[in-house]
Amino acid sequence: MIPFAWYLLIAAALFCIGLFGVLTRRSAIGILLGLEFMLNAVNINFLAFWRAGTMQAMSGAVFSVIIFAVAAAEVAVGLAIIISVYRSRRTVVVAEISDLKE
Amino acid sequence: MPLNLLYAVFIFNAIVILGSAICSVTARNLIHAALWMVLSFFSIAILFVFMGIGFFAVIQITIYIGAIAVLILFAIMLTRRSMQEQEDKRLKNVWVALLAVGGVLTVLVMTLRQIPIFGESISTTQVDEMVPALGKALTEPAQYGLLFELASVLLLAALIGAIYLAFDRKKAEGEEK
Amino acid sequence: MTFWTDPINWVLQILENLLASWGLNHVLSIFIINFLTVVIYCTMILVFVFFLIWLERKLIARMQDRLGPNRVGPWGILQSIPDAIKIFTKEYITPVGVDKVIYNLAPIIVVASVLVVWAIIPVAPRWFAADLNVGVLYIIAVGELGILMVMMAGWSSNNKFALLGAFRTSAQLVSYEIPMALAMLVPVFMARSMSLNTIITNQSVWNIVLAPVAFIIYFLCSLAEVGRAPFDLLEAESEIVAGYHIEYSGLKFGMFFVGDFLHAFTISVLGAVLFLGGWRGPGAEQYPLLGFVYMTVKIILVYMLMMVVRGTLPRLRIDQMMDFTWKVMTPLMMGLLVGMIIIDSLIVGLSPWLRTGAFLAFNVIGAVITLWALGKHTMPKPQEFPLEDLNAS
Repeated sequence: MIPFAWYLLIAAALFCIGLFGVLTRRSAIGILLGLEFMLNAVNINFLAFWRAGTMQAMSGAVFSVIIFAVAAAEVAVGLAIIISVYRSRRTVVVAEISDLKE
Repeated sequence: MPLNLLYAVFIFNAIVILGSAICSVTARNLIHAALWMVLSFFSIAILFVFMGIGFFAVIQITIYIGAIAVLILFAIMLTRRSMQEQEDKRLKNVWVALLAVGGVLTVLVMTLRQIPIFGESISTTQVDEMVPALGKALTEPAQYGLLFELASVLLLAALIGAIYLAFDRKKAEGEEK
Repeated sequence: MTFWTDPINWVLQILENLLASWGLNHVLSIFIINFLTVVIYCTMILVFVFFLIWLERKLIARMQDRLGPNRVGPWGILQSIPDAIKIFTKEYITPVGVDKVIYNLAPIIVVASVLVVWAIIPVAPRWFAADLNVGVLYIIAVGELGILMVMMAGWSSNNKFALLGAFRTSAQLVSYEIPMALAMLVPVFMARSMSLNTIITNQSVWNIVLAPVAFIIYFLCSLAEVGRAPFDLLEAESEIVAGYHIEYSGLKFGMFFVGDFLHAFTISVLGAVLFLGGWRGPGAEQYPLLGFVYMTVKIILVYMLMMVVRGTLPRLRIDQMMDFTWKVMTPLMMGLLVGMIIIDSLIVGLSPWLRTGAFLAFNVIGAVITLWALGKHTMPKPQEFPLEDLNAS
């Protein structure tokens, strides 16, 4: 009933909004927020393509489940790193964590 | 359900997804940004219900809102110097980012229109028989069983890594002394 | 379809005919009927909480050798009404610096996350609002929404004690969610489906007989999920003033209060559905009202067990609570689940009596081994006072 194109457009727009968040935020956690939107957009895309096909091959749905798991794992490790950096430097602004820069 | 009503509710849902995403990436206060993100995740779960895969809607709420959003909120609360947080964006940065994002969106939409099945429709009836088939696909060795095991190893590594990284060694040594 | 064989659909049919005879559009009439059903359902549940609060106060009072409320109405049954009037008319004291939107939204969503669970609970054979094929997962998901809002309530109060209480509360709730989800997985595995209707129709032998350890773990985790004694450190007045709802007053606190009791009631309903066979009983299939009676008896049994435990046991410390869930309940539940799946694959095709016996034996052996292992881990003995010193002075 609902045109397939609408799902893809919503996913594309969400991906670009997430990209905007990643490019614009100063805080590391803000960048992680944008990253989560991008992962969600990719998820919607996978599920929409899988659903529009025959749904006999489960690879679309399986990939989506693995994306859920990997996103959770990545957020956990990323936030652990951010908290660790905050403990030693008292800042999470990515522009100030620039020791490796010349 | 008549088609116009269905379209109207779907478009409202899409507006909530994109609107709360925009509010999330432009909010000054990080906690407000995280809560707008929670609203966006919830609307994406409703989008999955529209697609007919209610199982993924519930998984989305459990994992994204129940685990990831809670983690992010905990991290925001633990890494702030005061209860108020200001987020300053430099104006030049915003125009460059908007330009880049606009370019990416244009390329994406132009590519998507080339797909042959772009014009089709997805029915909104729930696909209940998908859940046992997904379970079989994830656990049978012939299909994706190895991928499932690898994902669990990845989660174990993330668990151990997060605990080790966030462990406050100085406080623990201070208590021992 | 008479009233006795199918009460809810009979009433809905009459309503539909009535609205159609008034000339309303079909879609609009269905929408109005569903909306009316939701409103009546929620109101009835929330009003039923008044009765539950009275029941709890009377029972705890008798256990503590006193009378409980006995002035307002016969046996004090109307006591909750003046309490409700008091809560409604109290002043809203909003502290300075709170985040107004989150502060006001949190109690609403906490109560909502409990009420939406009632949408899938089958109260009687053909008496349920929705039959989700992922019912058990839906319950877990909605519970997590409540946990998120508890944390937001604590943070938005602009109060360090509220924040600390919210941290502790969410840590406890998330930690106890894991053994509870695994314990809820045992009935799902027995019925090969996550739908609550299928779980009930599959319980020719009640799940509590097949897996008593799973029921015990579910019960203990549900005590912790609701924040009842002995796990009520989160809102104990001597510990942390009032936990995450320090800064709430008036009806907002009333919503947390009602939500707390409603959560306890809903979790005992789920315990009855998953482990005690729901509405199953002689003659329940044909006459749903009989099924409703059986269900009510089972719910009151589980809820009274909760109240008795509340009135008896002292409070646990936060580190004791965390140790208990991570070191005892989660490994036990994982081992139990894996063991039951292995046994189920070994005894395929045997008679139902042998299957029941095998599961029950495995559970009893697991419980004995766990209790033996726990007994070896003794607490350090408290220092013994030599009695001569006391008598000398």
